[in-house]
Amino acid sequence: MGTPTESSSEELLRRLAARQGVEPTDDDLAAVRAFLEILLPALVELAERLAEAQT
Amino acid sequence: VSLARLVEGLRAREFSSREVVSVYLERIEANADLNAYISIRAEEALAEAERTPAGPLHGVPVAVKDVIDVAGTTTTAASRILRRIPPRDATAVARLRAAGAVVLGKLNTHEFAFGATTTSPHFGPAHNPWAHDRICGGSSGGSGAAAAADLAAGTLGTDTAGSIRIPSALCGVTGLRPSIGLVPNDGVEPVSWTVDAVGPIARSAEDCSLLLEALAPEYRPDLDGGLGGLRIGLVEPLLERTQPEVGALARSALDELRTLGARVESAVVPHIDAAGTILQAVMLPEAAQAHLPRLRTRLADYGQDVRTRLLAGLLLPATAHVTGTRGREWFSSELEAAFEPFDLLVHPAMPVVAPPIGEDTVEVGGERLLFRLALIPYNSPWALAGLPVASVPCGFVDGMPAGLALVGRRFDEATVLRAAHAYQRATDWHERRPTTAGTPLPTW
Repeated sequence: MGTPTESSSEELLRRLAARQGVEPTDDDLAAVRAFLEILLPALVELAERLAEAQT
Repeated sequence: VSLARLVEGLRAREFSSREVVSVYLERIEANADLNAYISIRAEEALAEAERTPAGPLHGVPVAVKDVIDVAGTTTTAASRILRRIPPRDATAVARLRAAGAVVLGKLNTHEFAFGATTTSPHFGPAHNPWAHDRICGGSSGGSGAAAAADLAAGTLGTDTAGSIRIPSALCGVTGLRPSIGLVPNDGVEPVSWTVDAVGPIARSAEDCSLLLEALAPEYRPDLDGGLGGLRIGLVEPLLERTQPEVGALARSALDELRTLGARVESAVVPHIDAAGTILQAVMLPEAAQAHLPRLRTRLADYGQDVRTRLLAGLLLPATAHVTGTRGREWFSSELEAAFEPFDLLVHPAMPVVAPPIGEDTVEVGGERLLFRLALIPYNSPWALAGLPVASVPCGFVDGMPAGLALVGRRFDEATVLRAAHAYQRATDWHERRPTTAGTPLPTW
């Protein structure tokens, strides 16, 4: 069992997947959440750098 | 025996294509424990050897990664899901065959070419010919193993985020990721269609050049131009991050390039630290989109690592691909300006030698990193910008090969292979071969 925040993130991911017709398992969602926890902050930082480069 | 020597001997009728194909088929069988091949076209190849066109690769036995279609032979992508029997060859294969090549079979790969280890849970790992308990790298691991163990005179791989360069470096052979768009991708199972590239893996730059001539009519080789006056930029941050022994080999290779007449200076590649994130933002959604119908119906049949990456691509916010695409333009434009003073950029092809099969992490710069993540800075920048990159063998660490990467300007494969060839005329790392089973290739 993950923390309440992790469970809530995974529930959101499950709903997003379901809307696209895909049904991941709990283990899949935990792995994806861990993957995105690394990638999403890096993407936010990238977007900030792109914004700076435009100014 | 190099592909170049085979071409010469076959043309002079010193031996026949059927003889050559037979010898390679025997070697494939004798070295089956490497698991380099997924399917072998023994009968078809022997029959085709009797009637190959009289082209520049007349009678030369090659093999292709099993994400590339060969008419009538099942494409599996080393997956449990794909069993396509294509009615026609991929254009890359058709061009090799039109030049006279004979296709021996289909080579092992990371599942759907979406990973760096070639350890498919469905077809088993490809084993590194230099140490069977080590990975070949990937995703074109079977191509690297087959080229290293003389199980084909030349091979085809594909490269999205390093999949030609990684196995070439880790297996001690020469590979070329061509510029995006130089070799058509049709008939190839996609990872990320704006980044994917099909290219050769073989023993030497000369062999890769011969294969590329068939694959890309626009390519004009210039192998004998030498290195005199060539301006080479060293990407120092990538040298600094390597395992020290690998870095020492790269430094020796740079000394050799200087001796051969090149001017080697430090190059500053702006935003190189962002290239990995940008590539992920482009590649993951494109891969997820390509796989979406299968994700809906066959999700449980993917291996765990590939499933996680595809789901991550599916569940990224829509802005991720936009950010990645904008980032790609930004990075590529700055790289083009930084490349201006140079003809080539160089760096150690990989930060480490091949790790043991099953070992997920490697030590780089005093840190323990996931193997996959440790490779990203070495491969992503040039793939994003669509540049040609060769990996050439440059030495060994405890019996395991290491490679040097030579990066060219877009569509300047000629300079990349010219420099690689000049280096290989002065060194013999590319001629070293692992101990393998079966009858050695005749000297021919």
